[in-house]
Amino acid sequence: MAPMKLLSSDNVEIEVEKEVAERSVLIKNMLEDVGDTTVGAPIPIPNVNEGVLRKVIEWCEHHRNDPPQPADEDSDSRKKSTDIEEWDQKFMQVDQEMLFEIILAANYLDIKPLLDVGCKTVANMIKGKSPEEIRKTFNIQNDFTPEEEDQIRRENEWAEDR
Amino acid sequence: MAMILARLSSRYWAPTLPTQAEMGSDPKGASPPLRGITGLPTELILQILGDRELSTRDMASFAATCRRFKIVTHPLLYRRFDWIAPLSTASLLERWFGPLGMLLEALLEPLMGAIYATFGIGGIQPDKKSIAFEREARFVREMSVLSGYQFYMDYGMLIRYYGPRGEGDCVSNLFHPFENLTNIELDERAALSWTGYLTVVAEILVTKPKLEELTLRHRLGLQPADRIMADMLPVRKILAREVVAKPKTLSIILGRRFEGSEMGYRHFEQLMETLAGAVAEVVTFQLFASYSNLDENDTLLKGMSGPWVMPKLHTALLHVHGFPTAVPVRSVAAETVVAVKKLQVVCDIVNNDLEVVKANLSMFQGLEELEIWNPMWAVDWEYFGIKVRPPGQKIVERLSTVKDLLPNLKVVRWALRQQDGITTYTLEFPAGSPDSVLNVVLVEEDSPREKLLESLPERLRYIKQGYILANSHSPHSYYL
Repeated sequence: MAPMKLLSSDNVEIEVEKEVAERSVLIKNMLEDVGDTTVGAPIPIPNVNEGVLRKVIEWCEHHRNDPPQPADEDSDSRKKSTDIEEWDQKFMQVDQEMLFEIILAANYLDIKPLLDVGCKTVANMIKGKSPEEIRKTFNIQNDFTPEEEDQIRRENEWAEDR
Repeated sequence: MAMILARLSSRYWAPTLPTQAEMGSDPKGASPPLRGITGLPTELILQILGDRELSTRDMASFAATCRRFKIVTHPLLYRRFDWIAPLSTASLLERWFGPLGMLLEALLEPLMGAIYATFGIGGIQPDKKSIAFEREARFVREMSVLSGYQFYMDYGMLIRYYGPRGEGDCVSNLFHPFENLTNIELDERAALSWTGYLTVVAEILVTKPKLEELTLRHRLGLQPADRIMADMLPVRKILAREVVAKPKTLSIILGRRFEGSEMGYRHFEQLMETLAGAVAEVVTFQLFASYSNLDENDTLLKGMSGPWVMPKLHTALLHVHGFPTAVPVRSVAAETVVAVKKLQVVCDIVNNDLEVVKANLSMFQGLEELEIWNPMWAVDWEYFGIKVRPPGQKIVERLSTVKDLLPNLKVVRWALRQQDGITTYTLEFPAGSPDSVLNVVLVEEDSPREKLLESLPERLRYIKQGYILANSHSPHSYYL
């Protein structure tokens, strides 16, 4: 398969096989649109820096032979959080900054399976935690007043039983 | 070339919803570098929250972390609710026994509370979900200001109620702030009069433009006062504001399971009138009804009551006591009935001849799939326990004749519920052929297909393919 180049937001050219790059629906559609007129020219990926782009390419290489995602996003094929493959779990063992950058990149590049894995990873980090534990995990600033916090706790109290 | 690609790249860039930082906390508009979950756009937060593994509790916890996540999460958290209007024992006693009833209720309540606590079936506690909605909606607590609830499984019972019974405003107010509700299930437990109930339905229809599924339950005649016909003036007044709800699925569950209702078709007609403007988009119509007040002179039986027109109706489930002789199907316009592709009905064709069914089925000329559920009170011994062997050839023969009536019919399913399980026969008709097709399939692992084929009687050989599904927990049915 012919190699091609991607240009990260920090102007670093990264060589990648076309088949791998086409895991991104965005890149695939772009290549289809421009045809052969841009052979050799790097494709700019202005929203993704080198580090994140290399990480995304690593994922695409590992999953290059995966079957295409069903068109219906809500189909039953969507896995539960606990169903993340072992390789993906290890892949996602990165610091939070990188994790959310990968999610944003997957969203931008339109790589739904990677986006799913990223979102499921975050969902697993939320699951079973109290509001305070979630704040601590994600470094979220509590901008409620004590009164508001008390009110929202009472409002959503019914959900505690679910 | 690089310019072209750069332009394309920016063209493909689909801007996401703004983050909190982009929305205003940074007046200069320069977004801070992304460092965590708060930097994610709303659409990605919603995708994370949409994970199946996250419970309602997890979502509530997430909502409680900060203002932005509360705003993002609450529409998810409150996107569906089933409001079960509680049974007002106080108003019930009041109406049955007058002022003495209220006194009785007040005296009995501590005793009832003690009994509930003793047997561990729930104490008197506020309805947390209602309180949440109430706070969110800022509605006046007409129903629960002086009340307590006792919960037992999914049945909400109001055991202390001193407020006015009302004509529906209190319940309508519950729904009021949630304009984007797509699914409403209104389960009436006698806290409303029939007028009040129809008023609530009307209020839903004029205020919920995104409604996709509407389920209405009413026990019809639980209390003597309920049997009074509704005053339709307030209902019509509400409906005059323009019906905006166009549900695709309409489910109506009337009466009690084992008892016929004291209320009859005239009440159902009032419900029809209320819903008439909201049925145009209905694709699936389900009617579960139990009537005792069957009167062959009823206007509905004569099809004169202004039936519903549902041009998009595809599937009809009619679980109606007495079908087809009761014919509530005439609540649906003839041109709609003709277009129905799939019909499920309850009918005892074991004990009764199929002719009665045929008379009504002939209305469904477009039908492709028919499912008949035989009620459990079958008395023909051929269909009980071990005598099910060999399978009910009488039924198969009867069902195969339905094809004569309905040219487009492809499948007929018949299910008999017995005490020890359910037996289902399915007949498939090949296109363009009057022949039924018998293909034998067994669910039980220890009942080989060959054994079943061998058991088939000679007379069934005119049926070439099809299947008999034995889905019983009883060992007796294994002989199928």
